[in-house]
Amino acid sequence: MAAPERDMAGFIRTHTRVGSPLLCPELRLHLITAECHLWRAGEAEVQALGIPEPYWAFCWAGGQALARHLLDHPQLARGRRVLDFGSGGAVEGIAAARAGAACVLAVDIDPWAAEAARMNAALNGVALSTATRDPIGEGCEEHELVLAGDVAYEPAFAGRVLAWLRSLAGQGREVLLADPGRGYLATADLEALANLRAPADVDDDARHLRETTVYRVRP
Amino acid sequence: MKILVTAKQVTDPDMKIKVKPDGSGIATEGISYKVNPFDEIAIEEAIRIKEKGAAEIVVVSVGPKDASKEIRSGLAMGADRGILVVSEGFTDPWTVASVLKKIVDEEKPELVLMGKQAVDGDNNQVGQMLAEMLGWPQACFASKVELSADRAKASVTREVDGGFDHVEVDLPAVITADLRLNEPRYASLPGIMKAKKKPLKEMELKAMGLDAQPKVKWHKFQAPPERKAGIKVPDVPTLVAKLRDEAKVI
Repeated sequence: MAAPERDMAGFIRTHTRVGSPLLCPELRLHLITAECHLWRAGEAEVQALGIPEPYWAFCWAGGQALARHLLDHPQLARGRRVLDFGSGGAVEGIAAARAGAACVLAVDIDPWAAEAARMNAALNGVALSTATRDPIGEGCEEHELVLAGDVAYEPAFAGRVLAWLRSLAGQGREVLLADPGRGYLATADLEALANLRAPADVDDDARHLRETTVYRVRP
Repeated sequence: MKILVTAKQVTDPDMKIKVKPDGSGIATEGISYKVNPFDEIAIEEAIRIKEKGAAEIVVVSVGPKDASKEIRSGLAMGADRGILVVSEGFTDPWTVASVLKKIVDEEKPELVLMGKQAVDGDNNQVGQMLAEMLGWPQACFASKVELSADRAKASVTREVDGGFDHVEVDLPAVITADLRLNEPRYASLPGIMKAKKKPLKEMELKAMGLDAQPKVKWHKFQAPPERKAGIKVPDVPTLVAKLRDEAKVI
């Protein structure tokens, strides 16, 4: 039986608040914050919602840091065709669009992330398109800049993602990645572009900042 | 610094427990489980220590396979990784202390923080036994814990009958948490989501090569006797007479 159509936009509006990530006060995103009912939802309650876990509703440290870096160095994105990989709410993609990207495609395996990314783009007055799939392994020939926010959160997945990003770099794509020292990323031959202090564990009051590094992936 | 905390799976203390008719145990149908509340307090304390300075928090549980849920609760609160020692059979405080001793030998934490007792067995023995096995100082029933700036010592306020006892222990040490040490935080949704990605190592107690046979046996379980219904007395003299002649308490 097909899943019933859900009013994703309505759901997102109901369960999130519009707020700004600590490092990017100029951006506005639909986020589950401490004021939201769902912030305190337990596992059972989240399951009862019948949606995949809403990773898109939080602005993770890597995403914030990468977005900040793009806003501070707009030449990285200006005029380029950008892919935001594992976009979630697409904070990096929106920052790239703000920086003057020619176009931005936000890709995530979760259709809810695509809806959130579109709504977030609208909040910030920028355009982006979305796709719901796992692009790992694709050549991404139509893009010049590939962004990966906080994607190294699991050991096996981190290895798989990095291998793919390296191959893209080898094919001439510029690849930027940010990680808050989760420890799953082999950083030895990555080029560190910037160190930022981003809120760890998406804590709302930003009491726990941790060093988050923006890297350029080399082939 | 590394802190080892415990998360025992216990029957939900808010549920009514039924004893099996033959007294061999409690009826587990429809029973829900949660983290031993005293362990939750210990986990919270470890997280507060981590918030004041860097620390890695390892959550350990000895219990059935689905006690991974209790470890995930600790990870969702903010601990870093988990170790589950699977034991489907009966374990007593000696077994659990022996397992923890082995894990401490491997992990080498500077501090073991655990609940003063589990609310199911009410044994209040594991922390003390573990400290003895390790030859470490112990400070049990802590209502306040403060680490020295160099994290070499802990000042602990202990709740004792009629007052407080202030002690200082060198680390490494075993500290057990009493009720008033802190109020554990709720795990937030991002905490729960992140907890799923945190490492959780599982091992079988049987495969640990321990001589940790239980030293006590469960003999029999018995429900408390049913309370008899009360009565209403018409006036104070009748009450006094009944207390004196029937209850024989005055």
